Amino acid sequence: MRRLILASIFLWNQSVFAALPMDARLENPSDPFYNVKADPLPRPVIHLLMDNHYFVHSDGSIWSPSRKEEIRKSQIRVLIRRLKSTERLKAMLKIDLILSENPNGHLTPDELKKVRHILKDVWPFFTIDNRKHFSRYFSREELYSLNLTPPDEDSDPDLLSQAPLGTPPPPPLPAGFLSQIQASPESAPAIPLAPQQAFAPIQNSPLVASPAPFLPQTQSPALTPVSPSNSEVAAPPPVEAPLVSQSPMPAPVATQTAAAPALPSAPALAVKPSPQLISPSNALSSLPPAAAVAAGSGAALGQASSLAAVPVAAATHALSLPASVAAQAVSAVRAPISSPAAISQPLVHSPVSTAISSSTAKASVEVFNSSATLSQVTVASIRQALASSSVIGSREYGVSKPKGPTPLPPLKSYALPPLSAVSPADFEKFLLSAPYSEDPKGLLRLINTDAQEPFRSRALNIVMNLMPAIVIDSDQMGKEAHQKTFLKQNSEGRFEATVAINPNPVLASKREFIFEDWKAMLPVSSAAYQTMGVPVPSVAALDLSARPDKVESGDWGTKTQIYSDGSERGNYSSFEMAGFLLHGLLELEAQIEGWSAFPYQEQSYAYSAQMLLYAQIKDGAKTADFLDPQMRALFEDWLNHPARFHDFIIHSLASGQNSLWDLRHIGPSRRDYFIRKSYVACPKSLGKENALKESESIDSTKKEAMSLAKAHFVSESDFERALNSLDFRATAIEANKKIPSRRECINYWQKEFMGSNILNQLMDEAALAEKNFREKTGAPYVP
Amino acid sequence: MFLKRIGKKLGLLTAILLLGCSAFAGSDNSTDYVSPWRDFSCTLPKGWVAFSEKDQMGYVVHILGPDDPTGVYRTGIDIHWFDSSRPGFVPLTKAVEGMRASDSLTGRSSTLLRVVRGADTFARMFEINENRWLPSERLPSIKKHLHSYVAILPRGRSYWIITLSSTRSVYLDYRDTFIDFLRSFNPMGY
Repeated sequence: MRRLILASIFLWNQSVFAALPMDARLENPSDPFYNVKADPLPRPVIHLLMDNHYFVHSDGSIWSPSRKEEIRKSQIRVLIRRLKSTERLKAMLKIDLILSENPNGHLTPDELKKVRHILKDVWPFFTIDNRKHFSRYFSREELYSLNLTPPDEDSDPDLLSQAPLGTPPPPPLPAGFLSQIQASPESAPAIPLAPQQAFAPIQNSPLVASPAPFLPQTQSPALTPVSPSNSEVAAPPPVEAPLVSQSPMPAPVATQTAAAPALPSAPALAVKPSPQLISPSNALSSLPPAAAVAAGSGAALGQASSLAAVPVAAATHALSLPASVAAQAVSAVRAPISSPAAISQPLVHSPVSTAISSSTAKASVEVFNSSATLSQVTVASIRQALASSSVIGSREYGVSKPKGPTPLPPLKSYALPPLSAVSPADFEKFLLSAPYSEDPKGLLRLINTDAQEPFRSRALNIVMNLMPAIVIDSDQMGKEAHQKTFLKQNSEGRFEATVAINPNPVLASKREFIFEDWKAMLPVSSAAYQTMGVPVPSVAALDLSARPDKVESGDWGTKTQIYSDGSERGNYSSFEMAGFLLHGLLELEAQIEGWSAFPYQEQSYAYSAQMLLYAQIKDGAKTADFLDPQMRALFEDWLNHPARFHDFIIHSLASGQNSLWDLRHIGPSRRDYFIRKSYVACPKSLGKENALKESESIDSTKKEAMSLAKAHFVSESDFERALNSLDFRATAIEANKKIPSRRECINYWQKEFMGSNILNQLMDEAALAEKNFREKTGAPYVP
Repeated sequence: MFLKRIGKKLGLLTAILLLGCSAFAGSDNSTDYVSPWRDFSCTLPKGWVAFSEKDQMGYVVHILGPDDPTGVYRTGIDIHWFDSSRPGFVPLTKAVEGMRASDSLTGRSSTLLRVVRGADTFARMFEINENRWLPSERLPSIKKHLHSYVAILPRGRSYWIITLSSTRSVYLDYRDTFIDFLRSFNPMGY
């Protein structure tokens, strides 16, 4: 409920307050325009304006998001104040969301990282009170650097007195500062400060003296010097701007009242007591009486009614919040008050609720103060909402007893295990006794000698530990063009894996009258056509009993068989197939480690490995002719135009036939949110997920059949029959679908979460390998 | 009783009116996008989805749109930032040459350069045609014509390259989309 209230405040603040005063004041011609060059603004404020779509022109002028109105000097103060307030509310909502999503209340390192990231972003706009409340999430030295930016003071007479852009950076930590702190944590050392900095009062405030009680166990409350490069919050990536209304926002997390987290223990040095119960009247003490509110401000904006009129879409847009949360927020404010009894319920004091009940409530007062028409009903509804927010607080801090089914085990963070390097000699020794025939051994030798690290060791570790069967046979390929992997776990829990490699591409062409020549690469396996529901096309190269007219060396292999109807059966070189095998082995690893759920990253990683292998072979052979025309085009793009290569991969993977691009997985935060949401909704979420995958698979198969029909490899009537049979299959799947067990669901999402955890690490690994290669070869980065 | 009922109706009417006004006021920026690096803003075509990632030359923003009718290629806009301070940086003239170079493997060809007006600057624009096997990792794979609109927006020595690519069968449907997108593209900051 607290979240609803905050969201509603935000909505109102965002959509109504933003629009009203600006245009009216712009009509005053005596008021000069604001110029950033003449009156510099602090960098965070500039960023804040840009984040809110204000346009800072190169001449220093600031323009409204519509680009129609230039901001005047008299407006800038109000504008920045409003934006800062909005920013604070937004951050608190995000943090609240993270805390409430957590089934057991313990912040995982990932969640803690997110909270710290959010706090770091909004820190320049926090007031002293806010900073006090959230200081526990940072170590002292982090606080030192964070607090170099003075806190935001709404009552500050000169808002622009903060250090502007171009101000020299504050003095560094004096030598021995850390050791002093470690020696005597209770006494804050005297630090020479620049006179203009408003840092001194913060330094003396309890927030600097309070340690970080909510840091995880692994992070000692005692201070240790942390280099910026190692600190997880040292260099936060830029925050992704909201996708506004373009992307569907995920649904809110189902509230899990069953999970009752343990109360975090307060460390010995904590200045502040651990969470305590306070009465709602205390929490609401900062709220003015209704009468005072009603008479409080002369700015009759009429927002009381417009509060209820704020569009939900605007809220979700601005807040990046689930639509239903925003909808709840609006409806909560709209809803009439049933009973004030809830006010007498105890409100639990939590880090977020504390901040909300004091400083954020202060913000709400600020917002509501400006409404002269705000009725007592609205104030009462806020009181009721704040009181009922105790439900959230109690869940977070384990005051309420668990109810319902057994709580879910927490999603465990997972780090990529350290890579054990495989030496070429060791692998060669392994190969001598390995149960592989000569052809697979030849391919493995190429990987051993020419693949780049870390891909080489990853792939060879899979071979040495898992010993997958390696089959070089077009019939096993199904609808895969180059490599196909099979992985299953036997009753003893051991993985049994197979990598199939395609040695012979089959090419055919059909002419549509005299205009268009359709060239296609077709699957050899009859099972592929069965899946599509179409007959095997009448192409001679697909008929194993047909004899080729001639065998010659061509683009598609040195012994390309050419048949009477012009179709061809080519052969891939062993160098090229070594790339397929490397790609397949890395796909196997992705399946085992759980990151195959993210196909774009999986494919990018495997492509990097494959292309680096080809680059190494090309370096020795001085030509890329060992690749077929399709792969050579991809390789040349990767080598000379990496940006073009990646764009092509993305657009290709995101297409309907591949259906490998999941829009729910765009961006780490969205991905994590989606997994967590699905996890708490087990087992239904897995049922839905399976149904979605089946449906995507059927759609994808229909499009494949359509491609064959459009290229005249199957007739229209065959295509119609295929569509009917696919529809029938979809109906049968729907009828026979079973709801997976809770255990299956938990395992599924835990594995996906595990994969999600290591994605960034893997992508960094691949990027670094490519970067090293380009630096070594000095290849220019042509777009 | 009557007054109460009238009052309720009036309240409802007011709420609907205000909701309408607010929704209308909010619709202006409903498709705005600001890059995570806060150096440009743009208006996304309706229903398209944007995401960003880092690359060696700075960053790239991908905006994904509708799928091709046969489901082999998803239309989309890619915005690449080429930072002159990065190793491997290629000056603008050479970059344009490289992009427009023909390629026998893919049958790549390009149109002449022309200048179009963006929101805040002039952009150099051309079109590229090429053939690709699609999908590249699945069968059946058909050789398809791809088309790209390319615009280059210089900023000092650095530059953005904005590309809208699609299959050739639908490329004409996106000409206006691309021009509108370019007009909405606003380099930010100073």
